Amino acid sequence: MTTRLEVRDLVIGHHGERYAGPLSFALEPGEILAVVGPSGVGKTTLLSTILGSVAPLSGHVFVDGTDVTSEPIHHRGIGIVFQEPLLFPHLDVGRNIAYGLRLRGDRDPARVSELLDWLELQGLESRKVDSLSGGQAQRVALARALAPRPGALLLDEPFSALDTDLRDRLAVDVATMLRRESVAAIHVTHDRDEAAAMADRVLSLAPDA
Amino acid sequence: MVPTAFLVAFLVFPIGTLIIRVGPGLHVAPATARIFALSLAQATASTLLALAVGVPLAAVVSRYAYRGRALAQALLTVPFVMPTVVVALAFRAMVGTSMPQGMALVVLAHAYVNLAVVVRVVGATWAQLPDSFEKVARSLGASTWRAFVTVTLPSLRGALIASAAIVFTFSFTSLGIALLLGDSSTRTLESQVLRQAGTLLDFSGAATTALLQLLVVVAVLAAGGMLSARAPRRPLRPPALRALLPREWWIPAIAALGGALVLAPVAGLASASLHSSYGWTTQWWLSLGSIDAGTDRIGSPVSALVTSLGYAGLTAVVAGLVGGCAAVAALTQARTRIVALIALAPLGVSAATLGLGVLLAFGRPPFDLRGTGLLVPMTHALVAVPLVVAVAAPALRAADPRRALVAASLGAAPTRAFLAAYGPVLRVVSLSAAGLAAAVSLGEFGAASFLARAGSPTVPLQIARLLSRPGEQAYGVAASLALLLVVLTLSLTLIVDRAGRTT
Repeated sequence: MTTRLEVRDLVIGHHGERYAGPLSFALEPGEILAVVGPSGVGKTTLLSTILGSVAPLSGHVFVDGTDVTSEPIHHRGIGIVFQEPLLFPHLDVGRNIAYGLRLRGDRDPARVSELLDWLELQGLESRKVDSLSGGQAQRVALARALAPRPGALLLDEPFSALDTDLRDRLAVDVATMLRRESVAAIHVTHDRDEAAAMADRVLSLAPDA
Repeated sequence: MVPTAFLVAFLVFPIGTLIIRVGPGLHVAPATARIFALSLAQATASTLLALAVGVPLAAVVSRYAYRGRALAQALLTVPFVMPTVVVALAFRAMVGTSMPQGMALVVLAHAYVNLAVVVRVVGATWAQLPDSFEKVARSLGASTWRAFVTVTLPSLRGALIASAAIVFTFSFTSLGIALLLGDSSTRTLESQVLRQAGTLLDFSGAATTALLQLLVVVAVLAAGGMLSARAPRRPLRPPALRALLPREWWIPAIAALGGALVLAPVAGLASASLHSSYGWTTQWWLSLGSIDAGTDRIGSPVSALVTSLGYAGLTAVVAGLVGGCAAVAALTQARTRIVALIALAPLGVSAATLGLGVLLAFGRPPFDLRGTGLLVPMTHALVAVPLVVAVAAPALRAADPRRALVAASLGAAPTRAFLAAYGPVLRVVSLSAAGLAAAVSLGEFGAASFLARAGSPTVPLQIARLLSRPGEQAYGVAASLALLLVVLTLSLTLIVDRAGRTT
C-alpha cells in the first residue's frame, strides 16, 4: 500500500530554536496518528510545519510520494481543521464546503451533498454560518477540509471546544469519514482517551524529544 | 509599494523642498517655547475631554441594535467632517456672547470636533468584542463597573491609545479653531508657523517651529503606535449588534443626548442661515446658485460645491487605496510594518505646512501640476490616509489570520487566501474609511487655501471668503453654505454606515 503522508527526519522549531525531532513516520490511507504531549512541546508547530506555514529546521514532508517540503501551502494537498471552525463569515454553509472545490474549477454539487449527508448537515446548505451551533460549525469545517479530497488532514484539537457527548460522537464520525475517504490524518490533542479512541498509533512528544 | 511611492511623491518631496527653501536654523525663540507649553496643555485637555465624552457614546452607538442607532452614529461623525471654519462659525452662533473667546471655548470645540475619532475608532473595536467576556467576569462576581474596567477596557486599550494619539495631534496642530475661537493663550505652533512665514517673513524661524511641532507629533504617534500594537488581539466576530433589554432604555437616550449635543451648534448655524435683521428669511438660501452671492463674481456657491464633490471622490479612491495597502502591510512582516508607520506621518505635518510644501514642489517647473486640478485631492488624500489606516488597521488585526491558512490548505493562492481571511472585514472597513476620507476632503481648509485655483474654490474656502466680507448677506450665505456642507457630509456618512453594515 502506498503511503499518503510521510515525515522524514523532520526537525521542528522557530527562529533556529529546536523544539523537537528528528521525527520520522509514514501514514497509510485512512491511518490516524494521534500526537499527544504537554503544552509548549511543539505539537502545533509540528502541524504548522507539515502544513507549510512554518519552515522546518531540517527534514522533509511527502504527500503521496511527492516531496512537498518547499511547496507553498496551497500546492501541498494537506487540509487543516483548527480548534475553532474559522468558517468564512461571508459565505453560507454550502459555499464554505465548496470553497476548495471551486478553486479547482469543480462546481459539481454532488460532492457537497455527499459531505452534507455524511456529516448530518442536511438542510443547512444555505444557512449563514453564524447561525450554526458549535458542533454544526465544526462539522462544516471538517466537510470543507475534506471536500477537495486532500492527501492528508491535520486536526489541531478540533473537538476541545465541544461538550463531551458531542466530542465523542464527532470523534467516531471523523475517524469513520477519514477511513472511508482514505485520508491520512494527524490529530493533535491533550486528551489521551480521545487519542486512543480515534487513532491507530500515538506519537507522544516530550520536552526532550 | 503603492503607499511608499505615493508618500514619497506627495509628502517627502514637498517637505524636502520646503526645508531646502527655508535653510537651516535651530534657535527656538522664547515666544515659541511659551506657545509650545500652552498648546501642550490645550491638546491634553482637549484629548481628555474628547475621551471622557466619546467613550460612553462609542459604546451606545456600536454595540446595541435600536431604531436611530445608525443616525446617531452618523451624527456623531458630523463635527469631525465640518470644516474648522464652519465649527468656529457654528460655536459662535451657538454661544453668542455668553462665553468669551479663550482656552475653555477652544478645548470644547476641539473635543466636539474629535468626538468622531473616539466614537469611530473605539466603536469599531468595541463592536467586535463579544459581550461574553463581560458576562464571564460578571459570573465570577465582578460588578458591571469592575467587569468594564478589568475586562472590556483592556480589550479596548489599543483603540483608546490610537484615538487619543490622533485627537492630541489634531488639537496640538489646530489652526482654524485656535485662531477663530481663541485668544493669546491658545496660539498653537501651527499658527506660529503661519505668522512667522506669512507676516514676519521669518522662514528660518517658521522651519524651526514646524520642526518642533513635527518632533512632538512623531513622538506622540510613535508611542501611540507602539502601545496600541501591544494591545491584545481578538478573534474576528462579525459586528453583531445586541438587542436591547427593556431596562436598557437609557442607551438610546444617551445616543439621543449625544446627537443633541452635536446638533446644538448646527442648530445655531441653521438659525443664522434663516435670519436677517428683518426676521426670518430664505433669501440667503435662494441666492446660493447666484454668481452675485460669491465674493469675486467668478462662481456661485453651488459651483464651489461641485468642485468640492469632485475632489472628495478622488480623495476617497486614492486615500482608500493607499491607506488600505498600508493597513494590510501593517499585518504582515515587521519590515513592511514600517510602511504603516510612515503612512501615519502626514498626521505630523500640518495641513497648512503640507499645502505650502506641495505648492513649492509642484507649483512650478519641472513639476507644475497647478493646471491639472490634482494638487488639492492628492494633498487631501495625504491628510486622509492616516485616518484610513487608523480605522482599517485595528479591524484587520482583529481578523483571525488562520483563516488564510485554511483557505491556502484548500488550494487558494496567497492573494486569494488573504482575501478569504481579510476580505469581508476589508470590504466593510474600506467603505467606512473611503467615506471618512471623502468627508475630510469636503471640509479641509488649510491645504486647500494654498492649492485651490482662485477661480474654483472649495466650499470651505468660499465660506472663508464670504466671512471676510462685512454685511449680513455674506454672513447669511456663509451660514447657508456651511449648513449645506453639514447636510451633505451627514448623508455621506449615513450611506457609508448603512453600506458597511449590510455587506
